[in-house]
Amino acid sequence: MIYPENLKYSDKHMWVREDGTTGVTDFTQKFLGEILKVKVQPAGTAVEKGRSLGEIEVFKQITDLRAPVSGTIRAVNAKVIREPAIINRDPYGEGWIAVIEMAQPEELSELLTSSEYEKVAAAHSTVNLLN
Amino acid sequence: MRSVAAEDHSTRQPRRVRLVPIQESRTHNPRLNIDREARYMKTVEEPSFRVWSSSDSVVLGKFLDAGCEVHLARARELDIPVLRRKSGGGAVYHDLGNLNYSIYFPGNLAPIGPVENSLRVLSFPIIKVLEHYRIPWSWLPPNNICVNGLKISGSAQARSGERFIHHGTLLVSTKLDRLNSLLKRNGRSKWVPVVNLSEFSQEATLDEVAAVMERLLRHTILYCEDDRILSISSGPEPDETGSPGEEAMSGKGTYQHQGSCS
Repeated sequence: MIYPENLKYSDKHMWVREDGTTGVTDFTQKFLGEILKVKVQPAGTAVEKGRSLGEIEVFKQITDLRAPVSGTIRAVNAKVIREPAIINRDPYGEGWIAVIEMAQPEELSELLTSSEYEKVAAAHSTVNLLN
Repeated sequence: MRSVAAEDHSTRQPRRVRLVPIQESRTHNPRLNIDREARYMKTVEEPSFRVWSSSDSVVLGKFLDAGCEVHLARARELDIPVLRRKSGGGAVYHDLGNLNYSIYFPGNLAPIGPVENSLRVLSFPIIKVLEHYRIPWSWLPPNNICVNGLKISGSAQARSGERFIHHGTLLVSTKLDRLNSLLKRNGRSKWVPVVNLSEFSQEATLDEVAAVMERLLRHTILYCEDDRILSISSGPEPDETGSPGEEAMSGKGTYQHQGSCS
């Protein structure tokens, strides 16, 4: 699994860049499998850290996406809306999902570093019936 | 190679958690049943279940387009409502021959892991019912159970925050001609030929199958360590040491594929 060091991570498996660009982690896309549909709140919507940013559908499951930071959605990646499987191919690049203009940039420092998130993801990968 | 954590759980006593039946007044109203699914998912405080059925209706997965999946003119002609649920998956025709079960997990015990695996593991109520009636089954990925190559059950899931619902269907004595006249074959739902359980066991009425399923869900025990489910037992009561009995299952355990539908 890849967790770039220049990103911050939420324990809800989202990454975020300093400029507010966000998406799902490599762990998430591998864990969920092929992403069939992505639905994101429209640009201009205010989102709160830990609350719903949108939803993704995989196989027969709908999973909600939780905003890693609070702010206002400034952009949604139309490309992943049209072709969600891009997220599986390139979760940190072309597969970005939205850009959030942060209302409280200090929230970034509360998020996990690459190595901290790696431990969270690893904990979800072991000792579980459903893995 | 086993992880250190895996070593730990082999030596510690797992916590036993029972699935709790939802206390509700039974209804066959499809709108009410869908509302209840969403409500229970948001509110249960312990792993819970219910077994239910709805009168004639078509229920779509959250992101499906009704016009692509359903012969809407036929639905109007039959006065059948077309509704939408919170979970993913395809279009389902409901009537009083189609049995449904739902398992709700609160945040501290929501299953994690690959979706296809959890779909399979949490389909245990269907598998146990088929085994009760001595009907051989096979698993058709990602979410179907088949008998003689014909689909008899499907399932879907939704996760919201850390809350989780898994629900599945079992065709017991559904009006298959009506099902086939309502659901389109070229929609996003993968169309596969279907069959009723009553074809293999004539004494199996919906009420009787529902009773069998409820009984086994009431006897289901989740073996947990911290907030992880290690295994599920839906068979006879395990021994007093708390060790899972022979019926214990896991994603890698008892329930192996038994071939696939063609």
